[in-house]
Amino acid sequence: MRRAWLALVALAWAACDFQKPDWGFEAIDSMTTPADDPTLGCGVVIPADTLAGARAACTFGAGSRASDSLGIDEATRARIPIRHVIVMMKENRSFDHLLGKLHDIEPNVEAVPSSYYNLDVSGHTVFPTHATTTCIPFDPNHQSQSIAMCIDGGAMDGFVQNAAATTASDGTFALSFYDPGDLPYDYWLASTFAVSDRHFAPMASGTFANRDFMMFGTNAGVVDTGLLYPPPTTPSIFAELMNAGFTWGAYSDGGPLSDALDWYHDSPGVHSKQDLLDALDAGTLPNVAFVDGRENFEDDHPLADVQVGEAWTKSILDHAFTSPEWMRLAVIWTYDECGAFADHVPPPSACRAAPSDSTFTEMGPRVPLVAISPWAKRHYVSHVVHDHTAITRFIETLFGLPALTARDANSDALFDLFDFSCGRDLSVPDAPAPGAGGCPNPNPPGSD
Amino acid sequence: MRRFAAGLAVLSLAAPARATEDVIHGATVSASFGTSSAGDTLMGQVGGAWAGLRALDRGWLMQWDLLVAMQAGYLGNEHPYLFLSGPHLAGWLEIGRRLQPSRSFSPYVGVRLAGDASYLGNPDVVLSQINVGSGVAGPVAHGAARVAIGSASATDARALLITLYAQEAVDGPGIHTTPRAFTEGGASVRFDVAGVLMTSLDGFCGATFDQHDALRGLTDSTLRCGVAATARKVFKNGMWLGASVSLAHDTDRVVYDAGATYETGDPPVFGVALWYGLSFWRPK
Repeated sequence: MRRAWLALVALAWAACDFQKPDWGFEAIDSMTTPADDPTLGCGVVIPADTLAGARAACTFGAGSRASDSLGIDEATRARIPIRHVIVMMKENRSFDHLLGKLHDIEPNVEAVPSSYYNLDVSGHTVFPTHATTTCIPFDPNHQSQSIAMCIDGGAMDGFVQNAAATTASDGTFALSFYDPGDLPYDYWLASTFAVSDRHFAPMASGTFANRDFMMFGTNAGVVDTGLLYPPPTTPSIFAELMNAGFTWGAYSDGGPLSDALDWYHDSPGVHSKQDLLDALDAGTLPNVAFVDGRENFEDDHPLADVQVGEAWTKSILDHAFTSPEWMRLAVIWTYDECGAFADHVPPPSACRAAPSDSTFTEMGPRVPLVAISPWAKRHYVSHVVHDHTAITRFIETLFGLPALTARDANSDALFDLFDFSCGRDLSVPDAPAPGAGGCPNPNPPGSD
Repeated sequence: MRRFAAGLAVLSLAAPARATEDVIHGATVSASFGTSSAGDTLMGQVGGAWAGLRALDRGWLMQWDLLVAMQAGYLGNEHPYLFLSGPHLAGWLEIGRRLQPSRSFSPYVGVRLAGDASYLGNPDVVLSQINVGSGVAGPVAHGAARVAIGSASATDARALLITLYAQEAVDGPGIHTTPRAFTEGGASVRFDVAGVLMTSLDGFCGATFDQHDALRGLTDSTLRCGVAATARKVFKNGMWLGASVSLAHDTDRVVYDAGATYETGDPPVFGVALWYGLSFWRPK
């Protein structure tokens, strides 16, 4: 009897121990990034976007190519001089919260309306205020039910009450913002390169679902963060890249891809941040690199000090600017979702990913997105509406990949943020130092 | 192996050559824990069961297992865990022929139809608006049609069936999943001591046919392997205690037209259940 129990316990342990899915990407660790084509350079003209209306009508489906949905013919696509993309997706800050004063130095950016307010739990009006700390000590609930409460049917007035209901506070911090004095480097990036003021989280929910949209063109059945991961059979940008002979890597000293796939440091394709810096220095970047900071410390996820996160961003871009691959590189700096920090722009709807998929078509609140590249337009503000599947579509276009779902098939591909014409000044201006870390670190490494 | 064969001979010859009947029926209460790709489950179940094996003239063997129950419990796919409840109907019937009835151990052929259907929901939750619970929540249905060959012994006191089988199995549509059909092969052993014990061990592997996705230029197929063991100890007062353990694993093979192949694996699906049964009346 005792043996039977031991066998049962062993079987249960074995079953639980192997609860991680196998994504089948082992080949990525031995793949070689295709050699650079030295003839690529300036002069590529991305044609005018005449298919925006068709995309808005969700005309295109999985498998469609850039030539189908973006009007970029194969010859033009193949001449685009970007062969490496770094997706730097940070955590949980809305556009108004992080860059709420960008309008003051980049007037084309939509300003936060002076009339924008939320009501607190007592019914008093709360207007946006300057954050008093770069280490906000609260992490409001930012899963689907909470974000729906924040959006409040498009009124965008539920952030304070959601924060009050889900933290030990009055919730007013959710309506706070940072200015260029708080985040000099972040503001410099957003005002020097090409920034979007209409980039939305793809879904009104938390980390996992929103990151899944970038990797799979769908939330893959994941609505709220925490307990569920996409099935490894889900068609992914990773498999599409590998199938076409291109390489990728996920770089982090914490949870790669912010734990959305339950990958660990020994998972195929996963590397440390130092590996990314070394690859930048040596010119050995994979075609697509996804880089994430350590959770709640470097990735800007509360309770992190956003000045520490700013310094982390700079530590990577310093290597990017001097990399031998800089002229082939685009860094997409964005945030996975708003983290229940307020934004005043009601999220629009997007196309349903697939008939068999969840019915989520409402995007989440705006998040910052900045394209950093020698080919990124300087001091440019894009008002084109898109979400993270535009990053997916950008990658698909660069490498000639088919759309994963109808969601990315009908997405814009960020190309209005780029200018490949000849004669531009492609040098990088001097950057300011990041903030020095203005508060005691409430969440040192290893505390999560 | 020799010891095993000798054991079989003892089991089959020790008892007088009369028809076997081993039946339980009554109310059941069970508790189960399981893992799934949609999260871990902890469930309780109350219902009625009717299961047994009956030999007719020592030539025909009929086996069946029927469960009608209501179940409720938690699925770990959400924070906080998702409470679910709903009906569960499961059953199978196998009719087989011992080809040499006069022999205590005879070649055997049989056919089985099996089905398992449940619907777990929560009136406060729209299942399509939360983390996917496919395979546990919402409609879950499996069906199978089996042909088995092997050896069977059936005396008044004991029955032993050892079979190899082939079957067509179908997973029904779930919240976000489409139906899939598997062609499977496996082996099964069943040993009964009438009025005392019912045990079975079943292992199988199977695969879906290749499905080509022309749009995305790939061919997809799934391999599924699993093993399940069940034991019921029947007491003289008609009460029984049961336990079952199962483990299954799906691996998926995606072959791109361009040549790349990816073999992925879902997390294993493990389940353990314990149940208590009480006969509506004492067995004869």
